[in-house]
Amino acid sequence: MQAAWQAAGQSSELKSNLFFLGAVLTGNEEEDNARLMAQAGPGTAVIFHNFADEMGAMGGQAMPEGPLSNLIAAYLEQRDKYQPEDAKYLQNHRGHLMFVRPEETHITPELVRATSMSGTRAELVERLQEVKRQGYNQVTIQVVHGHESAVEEWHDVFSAV
Amino acid sequence: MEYSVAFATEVDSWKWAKRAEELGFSTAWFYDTQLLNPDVFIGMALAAHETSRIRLGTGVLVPSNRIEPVTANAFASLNRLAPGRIDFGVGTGFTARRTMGLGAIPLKQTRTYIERVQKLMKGETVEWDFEGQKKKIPFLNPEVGLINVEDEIPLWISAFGPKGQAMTAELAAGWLNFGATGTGEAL
Repeated sequence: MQAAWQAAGQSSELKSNLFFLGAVLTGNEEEDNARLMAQAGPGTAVIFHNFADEMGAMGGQAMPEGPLSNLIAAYLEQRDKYQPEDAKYLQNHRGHLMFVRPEETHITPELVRATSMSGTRAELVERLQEVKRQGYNQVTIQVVHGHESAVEEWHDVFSAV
Repeated sequence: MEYSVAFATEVDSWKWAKRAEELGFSTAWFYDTQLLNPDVFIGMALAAHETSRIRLGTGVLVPSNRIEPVTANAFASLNRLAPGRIDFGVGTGFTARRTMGLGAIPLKQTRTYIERVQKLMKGETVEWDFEGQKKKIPFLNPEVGLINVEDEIPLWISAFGPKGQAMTAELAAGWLNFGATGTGEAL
């Protein structure tokens, strides 16, 4: 983005804002898994929703290689079962950024942790300090329906960056 | 580095926007996803009424879903409620259009939409094509003070690809990026 900014001849500083879902973890595995799935899981689910949209019903033929390829293939099979037949996109996006649907069993706490801004307070402070060093001048936590009180914990994290 | 919060818009989002304001958050952003959440401008209007410092932005508005004068009117009305605290975040309709089975809007169309909305929000006249006709349209009586076309409404664009980022830069807009990985490479 900085290259585009310079190419356009802009002399002012680029304003950049990084949005993310995430969870502030406690060190208690059971509690943390619940937080990951509820507060950050919906963002991880969107990765798969988007692949399903972009690949369509025969998407498996265009499957990208990578660590998520098996999971994406499994989700595409799931997506092919959605009804109505001519509007599979409806179920594909139900709950977008709000909840993980029951059939989305490929969304696990481990996967969510690897694909979101999640960690202990100390880990998050360190990650966000790196984001700050990269040059972002604003960060935005995308809180999830029913878990808005997480702003209290995120305030604590942000204040320490 | 400023810190902000984004909500899947609800009619009660203002309660958490107010709390975020108390905690020192910079901006409360509201999703514009018409088949998933309550209307973005209703959520923002309530937040505008109930807060006094925190900025309020669409995160992000979908161009195709409202004609330009309607969008400009909504922002100018919000700007009357919360002068100088409103942000115009916009994208090509990533999720909100996908929920209707549609793809993103072409960049050229998005740019035309953005530029028209920006001009209208400043009280200027735009050349507007609609229903096969070209018409000149401005706000007719902004001097009455029912809307606010005086305080700037900064532009932010969600842009993932190089062409969208080039447009963001050419329009001197703020850039919205999404995700927790690859953040340094993207910037």
